[in-house]
Amino acid sequence: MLATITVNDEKCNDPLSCRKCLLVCPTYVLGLGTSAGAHKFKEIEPEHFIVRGVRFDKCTGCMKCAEVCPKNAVQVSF
Amino acid sequence: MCEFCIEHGQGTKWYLQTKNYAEELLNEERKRYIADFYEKFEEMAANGLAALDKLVPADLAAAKAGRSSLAEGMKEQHFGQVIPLEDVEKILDFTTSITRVPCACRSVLHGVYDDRYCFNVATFKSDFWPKGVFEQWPDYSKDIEILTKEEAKKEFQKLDRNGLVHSVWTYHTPFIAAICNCASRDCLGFRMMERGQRPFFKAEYVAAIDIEKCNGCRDCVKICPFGAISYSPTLQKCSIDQMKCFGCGVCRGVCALDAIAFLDRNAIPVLAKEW
Ligand code: SF4
Ligand code: SF4
Repeated sequence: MLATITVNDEKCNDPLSCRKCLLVCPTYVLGLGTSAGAHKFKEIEPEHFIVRGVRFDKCTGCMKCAEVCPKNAVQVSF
Repeated sequence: MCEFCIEHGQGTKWYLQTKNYAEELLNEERKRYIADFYEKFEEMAANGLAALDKLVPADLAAAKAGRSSLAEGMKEQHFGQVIPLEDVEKILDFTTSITRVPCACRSVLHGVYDDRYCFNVATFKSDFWPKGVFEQWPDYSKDIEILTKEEAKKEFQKLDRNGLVHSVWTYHTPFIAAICNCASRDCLGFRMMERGQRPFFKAEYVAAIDIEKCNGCRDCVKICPFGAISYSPTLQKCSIDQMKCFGCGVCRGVCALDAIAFLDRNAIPVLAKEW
């Protein structure tokens, strides 16, 4: 049973200053990337950061990331 | 629910069902099993250990996969499940006698013969364990201790604080008659687990840290008997890898900030299949 996590990038428009889902996950399933390609993180506009599930094999389905997201942008499905 | 909850608990916690402690289960065959168990424990354990330690990695993988594996076979005889302190207390509440006895694992592993980490419980004749079983070995029975419920609860609280994992054990499943207090170096079950043969289920629970409350003191990291908790120097917080967590609950006891929540394993999809 492998989870899929989808993040609505429009709702999640400033993940760098929020980071709630990254911090709450006990098995570090989520990661922070960019939609602007290879750049130094400091040079990128906030809206070009994206959150993605990167290690689905570690996801337990506890739903903490979805619960903690203040913008309701994270969805976990099986 | 673990498979024993389904088979022996009608879908509820099997170890909280008084029927699995009942005198009616104590037929001649089971009585003989119990007598043999204590008579031959050291010998069986020593032989078993030697056999386990001889397993090479290829055999280990085969043993793990095979239904005839050692731990799988133990499910019918002597099998356990980790339970947290509050469930120990629920069991103690419905028992009529509690006999604290020296731990056979510690005698085999460390040569320590008089450390009383095991609590034999019964819900019927109060002298079943002390008279019915142990009296025939005077050397052993001089080290046993009869406790009241209140005394036993206090002892379990102390053991919990010291990071000992509580677990129930069967004598011919589903008859439960002992609650043990284990630690990795002191327990044959843990030793088997290191060899890919785990004779006990994880608990019906898992723990989780509230990072808002955690101050990164790491007391929980030190006490977790399963190495499930890690510390991030960057975040200065701890977190629990729930795939490694056995749900023993001892981490809660040491967290001064009450930052550790205890969750129902069965409510978390992937963990509900992790026993
Ligand atoms: S014991 Fe509590 S406060 Fe200390 S690191 Fe663990 S969870 Fe955090
Ligand atoms: S993290 Fe899990 S296994 Fe470790 S002490 Fe806490 S409840 Fe027990």
